[in-house]
Amino acid sequence: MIKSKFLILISALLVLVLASGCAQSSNPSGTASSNTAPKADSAAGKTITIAYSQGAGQTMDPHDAGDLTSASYAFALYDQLVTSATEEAGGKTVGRTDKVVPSLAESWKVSDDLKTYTFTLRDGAKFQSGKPVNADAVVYSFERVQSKGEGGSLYKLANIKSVTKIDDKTVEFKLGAPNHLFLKYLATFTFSIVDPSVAKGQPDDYLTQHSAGSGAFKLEKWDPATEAVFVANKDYWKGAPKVDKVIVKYVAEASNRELFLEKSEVDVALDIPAKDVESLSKKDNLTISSESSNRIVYLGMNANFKPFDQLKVRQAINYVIDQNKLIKDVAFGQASPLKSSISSKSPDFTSEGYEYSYNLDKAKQLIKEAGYEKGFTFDLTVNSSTQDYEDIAVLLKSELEKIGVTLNINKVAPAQYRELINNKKAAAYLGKYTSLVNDPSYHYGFLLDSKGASNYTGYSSKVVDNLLAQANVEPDDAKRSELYKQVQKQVTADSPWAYLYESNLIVGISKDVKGYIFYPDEIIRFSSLYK
Amino acid sequence: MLKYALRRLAMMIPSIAGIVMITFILTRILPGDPALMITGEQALPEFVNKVREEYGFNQPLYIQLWDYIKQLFRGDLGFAWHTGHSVVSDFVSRFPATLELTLASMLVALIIAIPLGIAAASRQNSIFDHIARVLSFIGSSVPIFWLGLLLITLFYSKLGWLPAPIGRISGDLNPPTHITGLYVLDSLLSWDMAALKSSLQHLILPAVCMSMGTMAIVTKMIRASMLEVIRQDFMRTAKSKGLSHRAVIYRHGLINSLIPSLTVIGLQFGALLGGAVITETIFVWPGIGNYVTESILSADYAPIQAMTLISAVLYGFINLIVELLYGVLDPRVRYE
Amino acid sequence: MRKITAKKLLLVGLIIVLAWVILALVAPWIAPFGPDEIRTEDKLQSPNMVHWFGTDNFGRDIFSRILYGARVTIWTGMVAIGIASVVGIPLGAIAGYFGGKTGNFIMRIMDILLAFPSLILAMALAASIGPGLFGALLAVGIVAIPEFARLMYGQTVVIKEKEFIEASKALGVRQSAIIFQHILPNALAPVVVQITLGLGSAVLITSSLSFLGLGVKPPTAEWGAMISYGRDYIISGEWWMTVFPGAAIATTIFGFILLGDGLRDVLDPHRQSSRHK
Repeated sequence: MIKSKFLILISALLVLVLASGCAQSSNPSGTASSNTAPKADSAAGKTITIAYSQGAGQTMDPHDAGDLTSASYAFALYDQLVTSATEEAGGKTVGRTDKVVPSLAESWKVSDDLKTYTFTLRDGAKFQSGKPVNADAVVYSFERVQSKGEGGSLYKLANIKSVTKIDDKTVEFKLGAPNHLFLKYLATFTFSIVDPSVAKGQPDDYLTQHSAGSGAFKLEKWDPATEAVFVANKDYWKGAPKVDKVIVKYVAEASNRELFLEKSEVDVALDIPAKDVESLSKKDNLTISSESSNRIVYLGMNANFKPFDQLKVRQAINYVIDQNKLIKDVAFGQASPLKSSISSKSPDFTSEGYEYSYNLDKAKQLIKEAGYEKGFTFDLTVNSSTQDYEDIAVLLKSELEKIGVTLNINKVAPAQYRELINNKKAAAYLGKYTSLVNDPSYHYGFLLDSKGASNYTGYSSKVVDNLLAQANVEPDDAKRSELYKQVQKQVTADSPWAYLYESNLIVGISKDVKGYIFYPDEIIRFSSLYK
Repeated sequence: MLKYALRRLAMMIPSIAGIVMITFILTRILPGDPALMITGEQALPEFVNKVREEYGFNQPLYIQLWDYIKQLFRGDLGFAWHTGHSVVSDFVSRFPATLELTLASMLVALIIAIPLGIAAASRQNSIFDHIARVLSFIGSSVPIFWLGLLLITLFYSKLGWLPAPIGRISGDLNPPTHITGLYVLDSLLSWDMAALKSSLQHLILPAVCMSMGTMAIVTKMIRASMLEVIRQDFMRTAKSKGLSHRAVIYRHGLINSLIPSLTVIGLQFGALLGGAVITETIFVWPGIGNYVTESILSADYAPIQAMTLISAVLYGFINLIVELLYGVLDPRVRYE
Repeated sequence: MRKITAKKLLLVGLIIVLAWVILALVAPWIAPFGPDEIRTEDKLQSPNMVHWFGTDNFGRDIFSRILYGARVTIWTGMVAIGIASVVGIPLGAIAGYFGGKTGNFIMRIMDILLAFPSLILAMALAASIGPGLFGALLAVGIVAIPEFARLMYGQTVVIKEKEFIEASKALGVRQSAIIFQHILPNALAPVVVQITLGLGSAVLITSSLSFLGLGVKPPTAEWGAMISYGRDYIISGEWWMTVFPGAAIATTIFGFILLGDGLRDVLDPHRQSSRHK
């Protein structure tokens, strides 16, 4: 009895083993031939596959989006009243996030007191449901956005008091105070116009996984484990996209993205490692776009921690930094020097007042003057998400050792990093910032205003606060520009940060893919791509 | 035996309570503020607070624990904000991937380990014995992440024999009709040869990589227990009855040596979710291991809790099944 | 015949382990460069006469980093397994000796801990304790506790039934003395084997943690971290950044396994305990 049970079990096992043995052994012969086989996409219509670097996205809801991937989804699925301009420069098209052009709104009027904006909506703009984009949709979207995390923040910052429907094609926005960058706010993905006929009847989180826009693409499938698939909106009011499908894959490892691009497994790969730009540029089947973005990389020093309470120490750290060496050895040339607390792509940028250069003797002298003749030790908090920052820290550590300062690299996971810096618990940290709205008002409001939400060094300067407040209500462009230049000079003089570099957004594109447009806010707009 | 099984199941209840507690504590001691991660970099503090309230992160811990327990009783595993999906839906889409990988690696391991172990035991100090020894040493000492990188470099970038090590099937193919969620099985069932080829190609490297550890242990076990069996009396009796050496080994030796190996196989299977972490990371395999790693790095509580809970409970069940199988295979085992 | 091979393997294992320990100890004297010595002008050199194992992207000497890495690895392994055995062995002995509710409770907790996938548990713990060597080794140590407790429990349950224990009890020897003077020494052989094998797996888990970015702080020369670092370079052809540290991990674990297996064969527990009969 028992014996027959044994036999059954054994034979079952053997069958399994044999079956799998066959399956496995049939494998190698099949594998050899497949790697060069062309993709079977020509029959099924044109598909573009993009390898993303920053996650598979947290949401499809434009009002809730806070990460770069979700932002890029929002731009594909939705339109806004106005949008960032593009311009031809040196034979290629680049995005200008500092300039705004009509989109769903064809025109607008601004009242004399600069507090009322009246938008006229475009005829013929339709949602994917077939419903027209009308004033009700705009009013609904601006109501909806207020309840969301990132969206609510921007709504508040834009200082919108009311959004009223005048007639079906006209919407009036009233602001709490004049706001020179109001239109730039409206061009962000946050203020996407959502189709109320789809969204209204559904639970509030419906849009997290579904789309209800007027954009160039519709959401076909989103499986965060593997990919997000977008299909073209053939009735797009700006004209149907030239591809049928865009597939977004999340590939965390930079070397893998590079590999897939090289072997044409993907058509576009974001964040190619800087070290390989030179060798990849020589390949025939792909092009590399490496453009200076709005991203600034800096070392923040919190004056509430010793020894950074002393200006001389902060200055000394600035003298230890050799920007050219960092650019060469960390960014492999794919970056440019940072000479102010704002990106050089930003309006009103000035490098005036920045006089630091690599000078260890000077640094040593300053530290001595500050009373730290024997040096000191500090922790530098670094986000583990990006290899470059670890590299910067390693190089800085070796430089600082030469002047008797010990740097401990506190490399932490993203969640912990955010907690440490947001609560101003890091004495020093490596920070990066890419302002969503390309304007010094937005940038400084977050980063260096004493009440700024991203003022992680706790920098607090009456002079800067006053200048910023003045600039915010200054209607004259030239005068405002002058105020922002003063802000930059003051910040550089106070040195709450040591400037490191402005980094490039590096995108690898297969030769047969055209229409890539670089935008300095680092968000990919894939609707312009075609094969 | 049924009574025993039921009693063992009842005994699992306090263990599960303990596991729930530990999974909860594990997430709450993780550093990092999830509310900050959910809202993104450019959100004002008041909106961060709003999110904190929405998710209940501002509640005292005992209330959060109570809510978590209530949620579990409803069969709700929570919402993974970092993927924008419910944990259940994430699990459903990812578990088959991990299961397929684990099954495949187990098969690879057994196909090699069982014959090799037998050969090594029946011809001691022969070439098979040496191969078995070397293989089991390699299997237990070479780190998977290193082996994986080397295999990818060799078979993908240098030789080009295998497709890009990303996911379970080539991007230009549709996955086979969903029946079991295991691509190889599904493509066989729906007779989709292109999908079968592609999914096998994607499966082979990660499966080989992940099989190394199990292969090493099982080879060793089989060899050792075969040796023990060979030296035992009944083998001598069987031989003296005129059975050929081969028949003796297969009919008696193998069955007896499989019993202890079963424990090892069960244990390895029980460690299924955890064992795949490294392999899945390297091969961009869309399974549970990858999911847990990402969740830990972004302090996403719900999926960490759910996945550790599921894998711990699964481990318990598999152990129980192994124990019961023991009784089926070995009449000497009696359940009190 | 079998004994001889076992002894041979034991010897090979011992030599490998000793070699690494000695290299770790004398690293500062024999390493041609400092582990963190940055010379960017020499970056990404393939193995040559000056840099035997090549250099990394900062021009750091891989050979020197591997030598210093041995210190990190062996130190972490020893402390982690130290923690695990110091906590796990008494727990198992107490549970086994006293049995009953206490024993049941202890072993139940150990079973629960064992039920978690060890790497995931270690990842969560390492992330919680914080970055750096300390977090990693504590996590690895905690994860290994149940193994030791379980082993000791099994041993104790068997040994306490032996006549000489009964005799000591009858003579009125204190219970702590029985545990430490009689049970522990008699369970020594399997414990030593477990420690040796545990060292091997500690090396593996630590390097896995570092590989996943949860281990040591940069720029500490740690093998797993070095592989993780070299990962981006393996495609572009700089294989030496990955291959050498991987080989270092593999040989170390290999050594511990040979040593552990060899010890198991040589210190046959049956023969050991027969002394008392």
